[in-house]
Amino acid sequence: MTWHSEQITAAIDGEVIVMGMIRGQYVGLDDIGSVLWKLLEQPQTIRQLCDELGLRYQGNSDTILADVTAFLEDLRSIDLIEVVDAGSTR
Amino acid sequence: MSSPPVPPLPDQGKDCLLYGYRLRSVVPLPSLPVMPEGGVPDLSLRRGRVPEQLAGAVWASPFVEIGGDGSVLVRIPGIVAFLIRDGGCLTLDENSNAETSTIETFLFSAVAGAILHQRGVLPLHASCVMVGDVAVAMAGVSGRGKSTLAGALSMCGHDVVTDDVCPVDFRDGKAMVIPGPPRVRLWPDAAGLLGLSHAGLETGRPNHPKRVLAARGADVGPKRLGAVIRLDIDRRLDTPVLYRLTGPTAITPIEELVYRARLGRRLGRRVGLFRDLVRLATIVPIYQLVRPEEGVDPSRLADLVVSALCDNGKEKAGG
Amino acid sequence: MADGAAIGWIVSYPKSGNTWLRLMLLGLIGGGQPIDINGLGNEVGTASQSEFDELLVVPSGELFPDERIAAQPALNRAIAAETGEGLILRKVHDRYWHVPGGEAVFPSSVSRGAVYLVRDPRDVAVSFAHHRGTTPDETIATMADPAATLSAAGDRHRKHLAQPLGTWSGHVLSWLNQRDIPVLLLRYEDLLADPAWSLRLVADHLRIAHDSASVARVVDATRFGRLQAQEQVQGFRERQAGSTAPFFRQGRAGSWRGVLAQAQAARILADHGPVMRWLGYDCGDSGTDPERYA
Repeated sequence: MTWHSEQITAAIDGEVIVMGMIRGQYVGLDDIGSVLWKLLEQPQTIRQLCDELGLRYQGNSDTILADVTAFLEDLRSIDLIEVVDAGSTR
Repeated sequence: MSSPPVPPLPDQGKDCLLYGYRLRSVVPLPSLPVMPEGGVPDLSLRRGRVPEQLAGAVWASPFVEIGGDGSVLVRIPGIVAFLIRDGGCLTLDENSNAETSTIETFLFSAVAGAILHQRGVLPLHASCVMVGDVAVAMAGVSGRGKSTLAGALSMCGHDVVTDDVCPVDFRDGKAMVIPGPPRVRLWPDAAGLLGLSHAGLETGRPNHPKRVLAARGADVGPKRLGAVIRLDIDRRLDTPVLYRLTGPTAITPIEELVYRARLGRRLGRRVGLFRDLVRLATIVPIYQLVRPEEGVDPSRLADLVVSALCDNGKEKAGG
Repeated sequence: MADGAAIGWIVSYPKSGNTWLRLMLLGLIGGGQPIDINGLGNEVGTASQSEFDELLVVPSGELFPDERIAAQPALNRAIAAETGEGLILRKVHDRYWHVPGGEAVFPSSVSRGAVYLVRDPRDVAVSFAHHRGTTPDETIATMADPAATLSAAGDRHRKHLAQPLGTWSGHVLSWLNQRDIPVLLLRYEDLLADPAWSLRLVADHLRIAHDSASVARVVDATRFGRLQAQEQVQGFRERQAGSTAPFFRQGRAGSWRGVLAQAQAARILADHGPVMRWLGYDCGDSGTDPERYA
């Protein structure tokens, strides 16, 4: 998974807001979402993202996996990220 | 698909000021400040042929159409129609018999929105008054009480900068509000809340219940925007609350902050509006003022608006 | 009806369980997640003035009522266009009606279907009176008034566009007799008695994906007691200012007994008896079980 090519990213008070340039859909991210978003500038697997979060935040790995998966699905469903290599992300 | 010819520009007559632009108009617009003679107009309003529909429209609704070239047709069937081209060339339907007040009503609202979006200027959906030496914009979709609050502040002696459409220009790292007509449009109940006699106010469209409070306006120069206050209603509250918004929540939903954001996007301002709002949020503090639906004295809300500016001043002085 | 059409109209006379049904359906669309009663966005409400202004550009407040009315079909088409390919639920209290130009306010081309939720008018009279903070007599008169309109011009609550109701009986018949939009009739009393069965019917009608597990979760999450408890803790945005009761007040059928005076119940029966009988409501005639919905 990585940033969709047709999106524009900005930050307000350190929190990220992203807008798709084709349809104008947008989403504001909280602090953890903002961390994930910055990582996604480079292609990431779900495992890589979970590992990264595990280093920064306390939390059980199942919870992290569930949260990251849901986060990615939300962004993918509104075309703000895209799958670059399906094999490496699942 | 040829668009109708542009009628010649009137070479005589007084220019007036519409949202910061010098407008040369063939029809009288008594609500607008008159400009000194001698300048080159930014906008022109002439009478001429306005088509029933735009050929090759990319979007159409009962009142508004957008042409493939970015022109906008605003038509109230049987009443009045405007064609807006290139961000400044306005044609008023030569067959329209609309009264001056009707022409002004739509010129200052939907038509102005089209002009500003065509020109790439950020129009906040806000009414704006002066508090001290800065402007404060009260933003929100229709029905949130923007005009009532502006009216209340006006009656406390604050100059009205603009009502409903609030153009913001970014200059030298500052956000500047471009003043609009110094008049506030009020429903009868809002006029009542402010203790104004409905009968004593001017009408907008003839026989329409909305009334016009001709307020004391600020002078015509751009005003530094000191705060944006987003208005919301929550029936669960007993008393109004004001708090600072941070992060993306400060500018979302974009549609509640920008005047006719969807029209802007269709005129190529999708990315521009997003960038402008992000820039706004980094320069100007943005607050939320939430009130119960009923039973709040507008002067209480007016006090809260003024308090936001004072807190902001303290923050800056402290930091 | 268009096949991929966007709008599912959830139609009822006011205070007939519309909000409850929409909460259940939103829960189902969300896969049976917990429901926040204040998570009901603008997108499921009736058309508002602000939607009119945003979607049709011209300020509705500067138009005359006939100009606003003429644009209502276009407004509903614009709402559907905003939604794109998905399904959007819209609460409707209007009777089925046409603008003077002849076009239906609820255009079939953007309608996936309608659910008509009906409730015993005697219970409606009690609940509506509580909601508006008026007496049952006033509400009973409203329910018999062919010109009755919600958010009428001059009404202080102008957030919504004017919604013609007509009489209670006329309201029922307007929707059930129209042939433009496929309509499912559902009785509030049946929704109460067997919510899972009712929800499946509605979901099938509007082509909302569901399975027995998601239906069970939603039914559990939207039990009346739970919604009431949430309202007590958080308040509820749909409650009307001036209302004398919580929005989720009783959620029972037949509660009019013991509240309405005999003359009031008789008046409703005189006004609406034929339609009530047709819908199977006990009208004190022989052969019906008075406790059926109690």
